[in-house]
Amino acid sequence: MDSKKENLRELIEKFMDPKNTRIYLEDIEAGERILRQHPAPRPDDMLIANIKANIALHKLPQRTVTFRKRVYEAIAVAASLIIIATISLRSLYDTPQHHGPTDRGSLLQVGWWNNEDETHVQILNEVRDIYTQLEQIETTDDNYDALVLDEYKKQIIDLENRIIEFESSENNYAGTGILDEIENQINELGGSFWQDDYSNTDAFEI
Amino acid sequence: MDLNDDLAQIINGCKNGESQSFAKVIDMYSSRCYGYFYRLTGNTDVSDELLSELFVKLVEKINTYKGGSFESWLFRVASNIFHDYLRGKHRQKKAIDIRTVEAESQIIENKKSDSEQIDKLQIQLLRLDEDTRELMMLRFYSELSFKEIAEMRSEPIGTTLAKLHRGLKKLKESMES
Repeated sequence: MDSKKENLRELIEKFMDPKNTRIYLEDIEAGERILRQHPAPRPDDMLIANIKANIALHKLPQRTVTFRKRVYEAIAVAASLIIIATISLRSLYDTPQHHGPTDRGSLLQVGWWNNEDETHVQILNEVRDIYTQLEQIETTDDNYDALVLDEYKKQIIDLENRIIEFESSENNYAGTGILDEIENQINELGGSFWQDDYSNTDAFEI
Repeated sequence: MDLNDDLAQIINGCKNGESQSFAKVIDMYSSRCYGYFYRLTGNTDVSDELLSELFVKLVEKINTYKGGSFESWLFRVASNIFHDYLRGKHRQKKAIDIRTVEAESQIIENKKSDSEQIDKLQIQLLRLDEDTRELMMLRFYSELSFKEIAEMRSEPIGTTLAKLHRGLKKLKESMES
């Protein structure tokens, strides 16, 4: 509530000596008049500019870091999932009779091994989840880098298509070439994130 | 769109981390907050520091603002900053009492010839006790209602009114003498 909207007389009558309301009112008004007649110095323009700049610098890197961190997390999850998927698919492809975890495939969730038919579906679901995460960054972080995000979204879609392609071709040996391409793409995806302006670790102060 | 809607939108922007929204809050409140700090400390350098600290705190704490009077919230933060400053000052000086305040007033009077112009009001304000001075400045610069101020200070509204009346009366008398 704005102080100007309250009825000072009413307050004085209610909470102080009602017989002396007029005197109290006069004293308060006279005191406040003195304060108004002697305005305090105003902050220097340079000070205000410095405060604003300090806040912008204080805030914006954090926001950028948040964006980078979230994209990186999403990409890292995507990359690890796809690496795991690749290992898994290769293992299944190389040793079709083997249905248990191997040394290379031990990173995989046990459930994935137990039902080969659902492996692709689970991987695809995870990859699509990551795509959704990237979309969420767009809606919740208005400081995101649209170009970077679009690029990663494209790559995720591409990876998704390749996994689907691999799935449809895994019964013939054409799948191996696709696996190599997927691996190369993951390597590029991981590497490009840290290139250029993303390679500056100083920018990652949180 | 009224002022409250505008302010709500700006605060929302602050909560989303938009630097332009923080800049608007700074434009809206810097003079009042600076006046509050200056009248409490009588020192422009300290006021500069406290004002900077206030707005950094604003950035850090804006998400703890859950509605209600923004002025009340902002000046509570300002008041906490001022009290932190006082505690630091008290630690440095071990003890601050009326004699120190008087000594400060003397220093300030001596500084009148310096480039920093100290007005008569500031000298008289520094002669008031700290609590009354703070209450008067809170009321004047925050423009909060007595009810809000009493809540902020955790005291009955009658006490707030009586203290403010005494302080303003004393100020009027000392300014007239």
